[in-house]
Amino acid sequence: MNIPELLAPAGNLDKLKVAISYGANAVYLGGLKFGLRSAADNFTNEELAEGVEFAHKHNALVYVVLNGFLHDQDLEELVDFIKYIEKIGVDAVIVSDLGVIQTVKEHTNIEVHLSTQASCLNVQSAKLWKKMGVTRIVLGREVSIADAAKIKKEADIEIEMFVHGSMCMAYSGNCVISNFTQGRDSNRGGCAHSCRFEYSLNFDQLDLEKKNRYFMSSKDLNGLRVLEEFIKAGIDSIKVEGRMKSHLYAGTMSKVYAEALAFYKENGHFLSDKLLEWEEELRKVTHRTYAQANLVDKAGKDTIFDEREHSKDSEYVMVGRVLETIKDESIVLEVRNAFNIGDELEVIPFTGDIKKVKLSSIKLLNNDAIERSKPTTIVKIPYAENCEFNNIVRKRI
Amino acid sequence: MKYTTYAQSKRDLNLIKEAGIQEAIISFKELSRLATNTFAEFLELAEFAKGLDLDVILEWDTLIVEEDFDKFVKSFNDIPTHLYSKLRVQDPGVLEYVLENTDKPIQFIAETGNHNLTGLKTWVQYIGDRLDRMVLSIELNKEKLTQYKNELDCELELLVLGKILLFYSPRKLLSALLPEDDEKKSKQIVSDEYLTAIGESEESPHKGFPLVENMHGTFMFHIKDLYLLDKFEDLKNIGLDYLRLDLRNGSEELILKCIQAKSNEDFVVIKKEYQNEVIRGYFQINKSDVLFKKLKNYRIQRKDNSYIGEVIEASKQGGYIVIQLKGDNEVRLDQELKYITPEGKELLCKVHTLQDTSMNNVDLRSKDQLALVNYMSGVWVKSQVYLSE
Repeated sequence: MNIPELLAPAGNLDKLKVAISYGANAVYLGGLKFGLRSAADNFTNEELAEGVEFAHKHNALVYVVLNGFLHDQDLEELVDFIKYIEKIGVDAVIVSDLGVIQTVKEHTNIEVHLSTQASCLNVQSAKLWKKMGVTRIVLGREVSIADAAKIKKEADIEIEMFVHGSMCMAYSGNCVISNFTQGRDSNRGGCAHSCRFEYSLNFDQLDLEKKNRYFMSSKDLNGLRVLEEFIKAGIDSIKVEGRMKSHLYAGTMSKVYAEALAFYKENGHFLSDKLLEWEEELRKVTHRTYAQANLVDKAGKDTIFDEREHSKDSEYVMVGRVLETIKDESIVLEVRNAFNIGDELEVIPFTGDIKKVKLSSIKLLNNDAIERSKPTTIVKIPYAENCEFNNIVRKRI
Repeated sequence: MKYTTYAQSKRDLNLIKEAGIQEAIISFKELSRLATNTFAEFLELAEFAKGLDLDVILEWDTLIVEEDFDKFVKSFNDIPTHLYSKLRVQDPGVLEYVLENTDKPIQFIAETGNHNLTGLKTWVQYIGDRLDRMVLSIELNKEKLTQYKNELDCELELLVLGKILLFYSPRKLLSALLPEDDEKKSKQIVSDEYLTAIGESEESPHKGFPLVENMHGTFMFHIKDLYLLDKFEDLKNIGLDYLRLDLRNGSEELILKCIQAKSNEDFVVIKKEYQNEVIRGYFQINKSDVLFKKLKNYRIQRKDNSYIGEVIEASKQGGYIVIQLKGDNEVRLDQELKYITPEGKELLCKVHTLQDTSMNNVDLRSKDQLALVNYMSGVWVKSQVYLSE
């Protein structure tokens, strides 16, 4: 039985370490250019080298996204970058543009994965891209798991599919709203998320009142319930969307899906209460309403997220990240959101059950006791067994 | 430089013939994103076009998921091959299919995501002798179009008048919003023609986006149409082989005027008569990446070999700054540090006190450790720390 690789987003070096520590087998990340997330932290060349070193030390792989639709001047700048990432040992690049594929193949021996941005949707398309030199295809998010299995078999190529995260409503790469309304090339990293706006719609053929709706906004993908279908279909890699998302998101997704895949590997099924626990964990991170999009059936009208953004925020918030532990004494925590004495915090270990810590004290580093922590400060809270550097800490709001 | 355009009726074909255009792009609902003709109407139109001695270009521009591929292939194979002379495709899977299963010349629509010469040359090479024409992106500026015309060994086409497609989704986003009764009505509308709407958002400076839903999904267009014809002299100088006019908005009659126009001035007059507002898009220059620099604060990115780490707390009350050491350099007592704040200020400060998180005095701290150093006014969280030169 082939258990798919779990591929997690790494918006920056800290998140890379979090994702891998929580169980991701591979991460994808962007350099300072050439990807689709210009507003993300992304990685400087030095951070990339450190990220690759960390990943390889933990038996994880690193894929660098070069999935913008690049212009000639971008390609000229690309050559030095791809030579650099080959030198530091990046495992593959994710590409959507034929010019980029050619450039990578001409100047390096790095493996090329076709980005979902290229909207590869069928067997014939997969065969064509294989001839172009790609070794793995990240299928368009419109493709079902069943079709993915067929594409894998008939095109004889590695297949990667999104299992979780935000969705483009358009065929990926086929939306240029930002380009023509905001002067920002959505396919080179400038997407303004116009699909998440509220629109007033006037149906000119129908005698209806104007409707204000979020009609182009998609619910988030959640493929946990059909994870077994991914495995049975022989999908090589399952991918979590979200390079712009938080440490809590990167950690939770990696932990939940890694545990689920490990459970299946050991037991050959998901018939367990664990499934409900994992689902509950996925509900605890900020998300739009979940749906299975096209994984089983074609996405219908119930997959539209017809609500204002963030109106469905999680009941949990990340309060901090563990920076150090002083055995039997304290945990040093980087505070992201405030908490008080008496609060019950939940430390998320890299493996195993969540640890609850009732706060009897909060101290500043100079040991001054405080009643309430503030964001962007460093505090000490009581020690908890097995707590480690980079563990994420959250609390119920 | 020739013109090409769409035909949806015999009247359109007669206009095309009268204008002296030698070809017509024709299709039907099942294969084309925006065609309105049924299969039977297509057959009749194609026969009629042949009777007028026009080249029929069959447009098969939909993107297709595997589940539907066979259905599309069947629709395609139902067409008598003598009725069309060339094929126009966009989905790479459809391209692969027609390369393997037909012998017709191919016009490849490279309008989406093909903005560099390397990629375009690879498509030309891949399609080989079967390539009749490349349809280029309207995001290419005139300088690039000129370069590509000189360097690509095939005929090139560009949209110069018509709607600008902004968004193409396979999901049915308009009918989904209708109440149950209207949904039935909308199904009728969709099956007969399109369900259409106009959308506007408080969050966008542009008002009045035309929207269409049909059997292939939902399409959104720009509020203004593309009009490059008043740059006719530039278009001529570029040497494009075909200019495409998309007049499927009731402006079909304009085709005769376009054919007769011979100068920028003639086209300025036509522009005034055109029913919609127009833009030139990126024809003059494409600077759609210049705003990216403003999306991110580059001052908080680590830069060079003198990098030490990042300030994660600055406590005036406690009298310390906490640095998370991320670079390979150590922090030592009496060393001079350079802080670069998120606002870009550079501040120099000597390390007078150096402690660990238990407030023990130490001589040095190294990578992956936390270092508490003496407080300095003006240094904030996210300031980057370097060795001073």
